[in-house]
This record gives sequence, structure tokens and C-alpha cells, in this order.
Amino acid sequence: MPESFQIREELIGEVRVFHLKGFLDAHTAPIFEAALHARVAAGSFRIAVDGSELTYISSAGLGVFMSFIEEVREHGGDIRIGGLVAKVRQVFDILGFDEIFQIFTTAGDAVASFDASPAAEGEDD
Amino acid sequence: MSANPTLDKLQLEDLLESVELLNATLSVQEILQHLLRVAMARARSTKGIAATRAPSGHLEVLVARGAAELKPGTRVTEISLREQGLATILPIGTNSEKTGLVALGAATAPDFELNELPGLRILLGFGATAIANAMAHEESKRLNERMNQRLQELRALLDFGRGLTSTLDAEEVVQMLALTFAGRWAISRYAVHAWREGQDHVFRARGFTFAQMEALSGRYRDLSEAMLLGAGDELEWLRGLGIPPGSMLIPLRSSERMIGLILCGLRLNKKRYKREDLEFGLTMASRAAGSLENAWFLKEALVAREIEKELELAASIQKDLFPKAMPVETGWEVAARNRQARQVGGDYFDGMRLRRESSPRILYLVADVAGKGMGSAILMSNIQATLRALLEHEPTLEAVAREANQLLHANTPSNRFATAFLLLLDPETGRADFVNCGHNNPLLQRARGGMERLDAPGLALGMMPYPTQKQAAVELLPGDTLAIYTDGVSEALNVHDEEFGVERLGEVMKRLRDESAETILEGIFQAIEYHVGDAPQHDDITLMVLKRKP
Repeated sequence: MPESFQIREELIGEVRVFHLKGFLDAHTAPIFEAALHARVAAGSFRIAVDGSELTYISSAGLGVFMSFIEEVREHGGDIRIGGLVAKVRQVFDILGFDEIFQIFTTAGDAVASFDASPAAEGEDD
Repeated sequence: MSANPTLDKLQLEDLLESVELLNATLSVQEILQHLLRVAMARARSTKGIAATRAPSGHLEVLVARGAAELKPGTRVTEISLREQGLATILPIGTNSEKTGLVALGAATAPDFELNELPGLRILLGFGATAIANAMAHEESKRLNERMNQRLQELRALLDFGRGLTSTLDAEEVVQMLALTFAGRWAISRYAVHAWREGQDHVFRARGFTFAQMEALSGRYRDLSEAMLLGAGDELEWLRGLGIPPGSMLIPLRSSERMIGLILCGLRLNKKRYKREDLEFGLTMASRAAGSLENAWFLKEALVAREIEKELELAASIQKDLFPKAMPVETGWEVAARNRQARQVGGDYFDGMRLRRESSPRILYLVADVAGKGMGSAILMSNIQATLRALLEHEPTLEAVAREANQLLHANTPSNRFATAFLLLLDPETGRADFVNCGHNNPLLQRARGGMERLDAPGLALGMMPYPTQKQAAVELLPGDTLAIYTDGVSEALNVHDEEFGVERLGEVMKRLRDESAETILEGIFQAIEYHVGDAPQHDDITLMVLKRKP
């Protein structure tokens, strides 16, 4: 495949962090979906996504976030995103994902936000 | 009023400040709020509204103060405003090209018309320009937003197309399609169901069930466009089904047929599906349908190749079952041949000596196993092993046939059976016992003239659980020729669908009755070839010629 995509996982406190790298598109989205599915199925509901090394995201890539957000929130958890580069952030905004997900400047902020408001209802400004 | 209005210093300063403020913002809302605020202050009025002209030409309230009944978005006319007590109506912009208006309730400022109105008119003039600028800006923002959306659609299509080139699996196609829709529209509930005769259903869903999709495909059997659910009388049905109105239904179509349905639930960002979304959905679905067809076609081709492999293997097993050389005694000739059709049939011939006897008798047999492929090849080898074992133990040929029938019936599916002709020859005397298990009657050409058919009651081996086979006997005299054959001989078709037939077989045997077994066999095969001509061979052709030398 011409474009590569990698996931590195990390557990910080009770927050499962996914560090995404490269191209998250229709071809690679199933990889991320499988990884996320494995954690959610095992009961990880506090999830932070580090997008600082994500160079591209397509609709299919965003679809992965949608596939789990309800389930995660029903369990009192959340998926929070941080560190997006401008080009990727723009796609989140155009598709209205900024209204659904809490998006932070850095991945660290996204992780730390779970301490401040662990439940999904706690909206940050 | 007709005299040039004069503004005092305070009013001028107010105006300057307003103009600065108006120029600093590009929001129509903010501009109108400011204009209304100033106007109400100048008139000392407790209620007022600001309205602009919508693209439809109607006046619509955008900002309202102290007028609860006139919510933003309400359509108004100057007449309706007056009726609601907003009698002071000040146009924004020139009278000929009104951008909008400000309407105020009763003015309590002294000498409002004389002292305040001229200044307000000037302010509203500036306001018109600011509003025009802001509207132009908002329009370009809207266009920009739309362009971004279109761009994102194109990206999603391209991305999806790239993804499709990397897979030939129907499940993966559906997964990519579902993820793309989920991301494009921010939906967390969706279902994709695709079907094709002879293939497993492909189903992927979040938040919807297979039963819901079945209900939808029952109602929409031939949908050609994407549609929003919940119009008209459908609403109740939909609620009963637990599908929210406003969800989108997209057909998966391959040329003339619907091969699947996609259900997209409500968007989490509260946006509604627009016409462009329906179009985008249909475009994506048609790309996916093409890939699904390809994936299915590939799978079918693979299955077909498996079958072909199996047939090849079966053919090689069948080939190994034929004897390398036929047993024969002095004073006798035997010749046998099997010509396979392109697809493996289940013909089989054999010859076995009874080892237990001092002057051994010989079993000659021709069989036709039902079905093709691996199953019939296995049954064939089963028959061979069974007969070899039984021949050494059973006292009579009839007992062999009956025992074989029972064993085969017990050990094979009921659609597996074999017609067979078994002849147990005593080469010394020419006497032969035979059983005919539902097989074609062999032809016996007597040397002294005349043709006989060797018939005996009995059904195919393995067909019935109980024995039906009965033994009969015949004596082969010097010069006699016996032809045992399968229906591939008698039913060989020419291009006019005419069978070779038993009569032609008999004619050849009669004509060649003084020749050797090998020559007669060759002659019969040539006659068949002559008859068949260019027609394709449908079935195995098997023939055994047994001749007692004169």
C-alpha cells in the first residue's frame, strides 16, 4: 500500500490513548476500527486519540469515531481528541465533528480532561 | 422635514461612532441589533423590530425587542406591523431598493420627527451599506462552506474508490461504505444489507437490526433513488418499526436489479439530509454495487475452479480403477474401452478372476454410477472393493449382487447408486451366470445367427435397502459375441438429437460377427463416431466385447 497507517496504544491512568500516525482513509480505517473495537469490547470507555502525527483523515476515518461514540458514552465514557494538525482539524470542522466531539489543542489536554470531567456530560469550552 | 435637517454635535458624534461600529462588523445580526438599539433609544420606544428582505422577497424579522409576538423568522408586512402597534416604520436603504426596515412602537421622545428622525435616516442609510457588505460576506462564507462540503464529498468518493481497488471481498466493501457514510454524515446508526442468489447475505449494522432491514426491503422492493423516510402515511409504520423519521434509505443497484439497501440514521450533529446528500449517497452506493458484483463474481469463479479441480481429481481416480489388463482364458477374446466425456461421468468396467477356484471363473462387469465428480468416483471404488471382497465369499453371483446392494445402500446417500451388469463366466464350458442391476441389456450375437438380450430382474445397486436382483444364466457358444455397454453407447446423440440406438449397435455386431473382439469394439466405436459427427459428447461411452473363438 502506498500510504501507511500506524497505531500505538498507551494506558495513561485510566485513559486508553491511541496515537495515530499517517493516513486514516477507507483502506486503513478498518485497522483503527478493529483496534478500537477490541478495547471497547473489553470495557475501555475512556479513550483519547492523539492526532499529532495523523497527516490525513477521510470520511471513512471519521466514521470509525462515529461507530463507537454512542456505546462509549452509554457507559459513562467518552472519546476525546487532541493534537490535530490544521489540515486534519479542518476536516473535523467541515463535517461538524466539533459539535459532537471534544477536541483539544494537545493530546495531553485530551487525556487530562478526563480527570476534570470524566463523564460525557461535562462539556468543556 | 423638507428643510435640510441639521444635526447637533452630539448627534454627529453618535453617528460617527455608529459608522465605525457598523464598519467593524460583518454580521447582519450585529448590525441590525445596533441599528434597532439606537433607533429605540432615539425614539424612546419600548418595542421595535428590525427586518430584512429574504431571498424570497418577503420581509423577515431578524431582531426583536419588547415585541414577544414577533420572533425572529416571522414574516411581516408594513401593514401587519402597523396593526401590531409598530407604526413608525423606517426603511433601511433607499425606498426604491429597501434592504429592510426598522419598525418602532409609539415614540415618546419629544419632537421625535423633527429632532431625531433626520439623524436616524442618515444612520439607516449607512446601515444599508453595512448590511449589504455583511450579506455579501455571509454569502461568500456560505459558498465557501458549500464548496468545502462538495470538496469533502469528492475526497470521500476518491478515497472510497481507492479503498475499493484494494479489496475483492464483499464484507470489506460494505465495511468501507458504512464507515464512509458514518464519517461523512456523523451518524452512529446505520445498516447495510446486500444480497445475491447463491451467495451469503452481507449485513453490517450499528443500532439497527436485520429484522428492520428485512421490513424495509419488503416495503421497498425496487427503489431506484435515495429517499428520506417518514413522508405521509409511512410515519406510523416507521414508528412501529423503531426507525426514526428523517432517516435516509439508499438502494444498492446493479443494472436492473436492487441488490441491497442502506439505512442511514439521524445525524448526531442535528443536521438534516439535503438533496446533495441523497445524490452523494446514491453515487457511493453505485460504486459499491459495482465492487460487490465483482467480489461475488470472483467468489463464484473460485468455486467453479474448485469444482473443476475436484472433477480432475475424480477423473484420475476413475482412471486408476480401470484394470490395466482384462483377464481372459484361452479360447476367448475380450476387449473393453471407456471414453470419458469432458465432464467426468461415472462409467466403470472391470474383470476379476475368482482365485478360490481351481479352474477359475471370471467376473466381467460394466457399471454406470449416478452423478459426477468426486462422489461418484468414490462410489465406484467402493463398488470395486465390495465386489472383490464378496466374490471370494458369497456362494452365488446373485448373493454377491444382493450383498453389494445392501452394503452400498447402507454406506452411501440415497441419491448415490449404480446400474451394473455382472457376468460370471466359466471359460471351460461357456456357461455364464449373470445379474442385471437396472442396467442396459447386453446384446448377444449368436454365431448361428440371431440376436438375444440378456435381461434379468433387478434394480440398481444401492438404490433400495432390500434385494431385488435375480440371477439368470446363458451359454455362450463358439463364435458368439457379447456386447456389454452403458447408455453412453445407445444414447450417443448426433447434432439432430438422434440416438445411436440399440438397433445400430446390433447391425454393426451382425456385420462384424466373424471378426475379433478388438475389431468389433473398434467397429462399434467408429460407427458411433460416424453417427455423432460434430455433436459434443455428453456422457461416458463404455463398451466391453466378449467373444468365444469359433
